[in-house]
Amino acid sequence: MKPLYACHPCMGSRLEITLHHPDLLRGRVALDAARAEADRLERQLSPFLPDSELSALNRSAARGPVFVGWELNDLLRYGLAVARLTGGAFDVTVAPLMALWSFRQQAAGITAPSDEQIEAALCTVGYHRVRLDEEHGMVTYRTAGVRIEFGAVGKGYAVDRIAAVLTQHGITAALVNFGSTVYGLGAPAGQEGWRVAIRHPRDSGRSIGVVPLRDRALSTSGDYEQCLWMNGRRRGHLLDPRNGRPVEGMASASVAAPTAMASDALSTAAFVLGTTEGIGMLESQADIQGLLIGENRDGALVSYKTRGWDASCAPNRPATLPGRRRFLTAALVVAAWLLLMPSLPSEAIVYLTREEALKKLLPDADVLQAQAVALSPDQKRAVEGLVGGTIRDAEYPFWIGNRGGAPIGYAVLLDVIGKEQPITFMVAVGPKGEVIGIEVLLYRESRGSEIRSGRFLQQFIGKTAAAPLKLGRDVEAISGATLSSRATAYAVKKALALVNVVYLHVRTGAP
Amino acid sequence: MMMSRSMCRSLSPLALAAVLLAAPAAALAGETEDMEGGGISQKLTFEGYGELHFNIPNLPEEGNPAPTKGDPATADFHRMALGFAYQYTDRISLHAELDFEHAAQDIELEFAYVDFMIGPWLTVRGGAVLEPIGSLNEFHEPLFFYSVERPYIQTLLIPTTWGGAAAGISGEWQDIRYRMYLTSGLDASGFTAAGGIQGGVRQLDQAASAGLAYAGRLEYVGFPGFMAGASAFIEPQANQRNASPPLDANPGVRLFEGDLRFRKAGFDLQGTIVQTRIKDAATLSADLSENIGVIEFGWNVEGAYHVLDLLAPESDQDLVIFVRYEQFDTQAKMPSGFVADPANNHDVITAGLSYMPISHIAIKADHESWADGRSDHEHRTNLGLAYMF
Repeated sequence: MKPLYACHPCMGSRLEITLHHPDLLRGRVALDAARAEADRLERQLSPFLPDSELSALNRSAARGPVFVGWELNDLLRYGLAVARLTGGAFDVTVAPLMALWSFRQQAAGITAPSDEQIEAALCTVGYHRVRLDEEHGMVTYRTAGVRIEFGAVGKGYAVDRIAAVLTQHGITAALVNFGSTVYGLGAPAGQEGWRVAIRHPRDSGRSIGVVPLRDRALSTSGDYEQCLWMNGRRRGHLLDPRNGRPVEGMASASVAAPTAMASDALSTAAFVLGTTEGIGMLESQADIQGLLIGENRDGALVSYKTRGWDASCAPNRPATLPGRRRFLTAALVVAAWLLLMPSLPSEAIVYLTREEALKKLLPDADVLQAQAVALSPDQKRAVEGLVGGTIRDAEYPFWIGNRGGAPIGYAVLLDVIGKEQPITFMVAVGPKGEVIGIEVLLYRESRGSEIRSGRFLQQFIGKTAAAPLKLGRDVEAISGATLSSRATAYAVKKALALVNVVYLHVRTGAP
Repeated sequence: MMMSRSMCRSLSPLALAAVLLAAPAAALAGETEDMEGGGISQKLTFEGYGELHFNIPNLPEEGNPAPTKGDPATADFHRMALGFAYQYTDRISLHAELDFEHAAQDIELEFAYVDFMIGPWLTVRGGAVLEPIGSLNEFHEPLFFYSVERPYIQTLLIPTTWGGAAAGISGEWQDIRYRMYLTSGLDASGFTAAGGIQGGVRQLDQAASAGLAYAGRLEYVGFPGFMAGASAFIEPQANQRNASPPLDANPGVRLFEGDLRFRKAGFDLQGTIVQTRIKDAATLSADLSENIGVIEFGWNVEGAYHVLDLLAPESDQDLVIFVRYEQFDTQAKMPSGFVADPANNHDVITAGLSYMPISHIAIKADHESWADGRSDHEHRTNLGLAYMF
């Protein structure tokens, strides 16, 4: 899906909107509506248009209360709240100071205004000179000469309004870039958010971080857009309304917030407050994150972050999240697979059936004769004498392999406990009483299945009842599977004893 | 076995050893019952182990394990663990173990997890597990090492028995075994200068609030008697969320371990090497007022010989002589601005013997010789009785 893009000059800046919508026509209608909304707000909030609502306010409010509409009321209320929060570091009445510095810059080049001029301008600056009756929408200026301009916060407000208009038009993913503020509405398909880079304050080609924005705004106040050089020092265009002079020691302030109005106002405020106070102020606000870059006297940049910046904004998050998401997806797939099975597998893991095991153990037999043998008490005692302990069962299934009428081997099936569960073995013994093969038919534990390995079982081939069959002595255990190895040795020992007693008629005295 | 358990409360280990040595070997041969089956039921099986130690001088519980001259000798019924397994079906089972430490003064849940075996190559596991770090942590029964005390790098650098709440997989394929868990991590606020990460192990009631870690182990067992293993424990953030006071540090832990074992013709050779790196150790040291090392490092090698293989090849009993060298330092590298205490840099030689009248009971005696970076030399003698069933 190709994104739609619109660029619209407005409020002395550029409004850029990128949006994703499957229906081209609906997307264009939404863009037009957004542009119209920006223009409407400009007509209302511009201090330069003589018939804007703001110009009317600035003309008359010093003489008596002026009624304002709800939008101007909201904007003023928020602007004054941030001014109170920051002790005037952010102030909507800073316009006379801006005019003073801007006039000096244009007319005389690089000389700063005199202290007297600044003092005079400061007499008309200060949020306490504005009285807002929010309930009735009435504004009064307490001092003549006060002028309100919304500067950055006005553009932030406009971005919030534009995002609302886009939402009303059914847009779920759009990026609105206006002045120093970017707002990510929703997210592009398949992504966590709109990835927005913060530029390095001294190198426009580099970024100092990428922030994913999803229904969230990011504003950056920097000294790099316009600045003065005075006495060899860079002075930004941002003025401190408290003393009337340009802010020093700051390179940029980036703030992420749920609304563009908040990010815009707070980034300006944090820039003026400086790194330490700025971080403190941002951290006192819920759901606000900031990255402040200060500049030392020797020009070195130092960055300060709010506590949650790394978690919510840092570029490493998009890198880790897909990993976590992949893990969760895999876990869900496994869970779904297990749930979709009619019942969980519960049978033991069968490596070989009896028939398969017999074929491997006695491949040369032309006749296989099955026999269930019940040991007589004498036989049982004889077997116990050979294995060196009591045995539980007295009945065992045997198979006799014959070739040309003569027996070539005897196979016996027996269970031996591994760690907790029985392992089912089949052991074949030749007519001379030597082991000719061992197979593992069933294994029921999650550890130790390596006893099936050829290298391990090979050790038992050729052993007779005379062999000690002790781990570490004449057979080595699988390391880390001692109990299963011991069970194998015991199975072989017992099979040798059984075949010797039942078929080879070995007699030993009872212990 | 019931007899030996009740006896070890009333008899000194030496007296018990004398009784067992005097008993004719034939009277001890009863272990085939283990493999013949017939426990409480086939579904429910009990197992357990115990260790009774006599240390001269005593062994400090946590931190620096070096002996101090003049400390009293102690007899300690160090631990008695009771475990059970319940087999729901041939594929689904529950495994649990309770550890009664120091004559049941401390009771710890060692592990309690459910296994669902999809195949020998894949078992899905969840619950309280032992971290798959090193060759001893998961299978720490006292018959699996010859010394009275566990090897010291496996008490300090790998804090055996080290458990966590985890979910993961394990399995066996060809000659390779693996375990991979997502597990609750260590709590960095418990790290110390002398004990390293040992104090960061949390009982499971507190484990949930610690960070998340990845733990895994690979083992190669291609030849009978041989194992090569490698383990890793990676915890990106070991900062407990509700630590009080909260830490300024953002510590992390990366532990890597390798081990080899080879047993052939009565000889048993093994070695382990461990390195742990602690992220942001400088801030953590300042937070805790403990000089936490950036790197903990240790290794050991051990040689053992089963003497009766030579002297009495027909015997059912077993007698092992062994010697082990260990080198470990919880402050192998320090963050800049912090200095290491040379007393935390240890060289230990342990030599002794282990007598196993049957394969499930061991009577052990050994001597440890300790040296540290301050060139202090100390000694400890240990006697022990160990059993499992």
